[in-house]
Amino acid sequence: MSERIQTSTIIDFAHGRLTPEESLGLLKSIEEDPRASEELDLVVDLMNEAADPQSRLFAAPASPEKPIIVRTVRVLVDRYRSHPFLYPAGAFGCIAAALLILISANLLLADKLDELTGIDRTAFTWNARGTDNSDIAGAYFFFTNGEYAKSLILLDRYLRLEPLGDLAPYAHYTAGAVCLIDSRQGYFSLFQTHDKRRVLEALQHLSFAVGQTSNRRLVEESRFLRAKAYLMLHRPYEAIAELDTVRTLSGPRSEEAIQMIERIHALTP
Amino acid sequence: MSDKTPTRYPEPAPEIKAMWTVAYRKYFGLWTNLAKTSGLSDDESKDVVQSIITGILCEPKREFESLDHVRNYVAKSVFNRVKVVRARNGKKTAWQEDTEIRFAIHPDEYSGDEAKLRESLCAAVRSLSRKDFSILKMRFFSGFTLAQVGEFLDMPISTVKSREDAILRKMRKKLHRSGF
Repeated sequence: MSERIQTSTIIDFAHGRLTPEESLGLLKSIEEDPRASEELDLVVDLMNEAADPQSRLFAAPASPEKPIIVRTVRVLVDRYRSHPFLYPAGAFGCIAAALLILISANLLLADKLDELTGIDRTAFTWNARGTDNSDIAGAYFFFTNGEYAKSLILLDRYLRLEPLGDLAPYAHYTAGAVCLIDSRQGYFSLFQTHDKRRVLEALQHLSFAVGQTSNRRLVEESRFLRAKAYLMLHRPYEAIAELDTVRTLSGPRSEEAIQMIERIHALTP
Repeated sequence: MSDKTPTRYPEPAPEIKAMWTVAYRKYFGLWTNLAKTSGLSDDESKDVVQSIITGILCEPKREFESLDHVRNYVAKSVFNRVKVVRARNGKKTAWQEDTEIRFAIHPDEYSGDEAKLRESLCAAVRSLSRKDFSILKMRFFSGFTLAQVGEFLDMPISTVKSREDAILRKMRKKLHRSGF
């Protein structure tokens, strides 16, 4: 029995890739092999179809027709885009609408208590300004330049070296304030939130400050900041408790504490 | 032009002309490809095939049982005729000049069977897997060699060869089922 003819040889033969001698040899084999003859016919049919420019044999399958709504929208969009004034006006309108949505969403999602959490940097710096330790002085310098991370590193170093030092309560107070200021997060002043981890860190520092000092002014300031921290954590009742303590100390923050308590009551159901 | 009056050859019988019409359309590409293997240009190859067919139609010395028979006979004749054409340096004989126009057999409309075959062929190709379709397209549409297909699809040549074999076997089965 003769050897089976390879399909690839038949394809090469049909495309004229064999030598005349090989082609004649293959033709002889094809004459004796009906299967190969059939295969050659199929190869020739495929070759003819491939050569026909109108044939859809190897063309990409036609994509299914889109629903009428999609087609109508596309027509309208095309017309709208080709209009000389409508397109720029529409683009401007879209941008304005997007901004409006962003601002509305920001107002709707904003925390009601957030307006009470603002910390004035100049309001507490007097406490740190009087210190003469170089770390605390450096921390104060970085803080005033808005470099909160560097400021915290210096304060942390001081507190690790002298946890019970004379200036430790001041360092804790400053670190707490820096943490609170640094906790604020937002996107281009939109969708303002607070970093919970940072706020908790601040609360810890301020607790140490309160516990380690007998200075009434420092206790008052630390408790006032603790109230702000609780507001940042959406815990208004704990904030009220801190503000109540500030009120009883009868210091410079007393009036402000009373006002804040009233506003918290007004804002919380 | 020669002053000699060309010989008038009888018109072939309708059934013979019909068979040759189908054969011409189906195998013309194959025959010209074979002529090209002898180093002829496109036009020369077409001339060689035309001259063989016209010669057979003008002086029918043998009867053809089937299309396969026609295919193989003309294919073999191509290789012999190449030598003759080369020897004549492209000049045509009297019967070629006279009969090529009268016996021109390249109708544009396909017969019912041919159209059905084309449809079945398309359906068979569409039923192939994506990879098989790619192999077939590269081999027939893009004219890639086995090695090129192997390189493109990152497959050994032997795998492409066996895949090709399986594809055509599958397609033949489908065409058999469609009555071809």
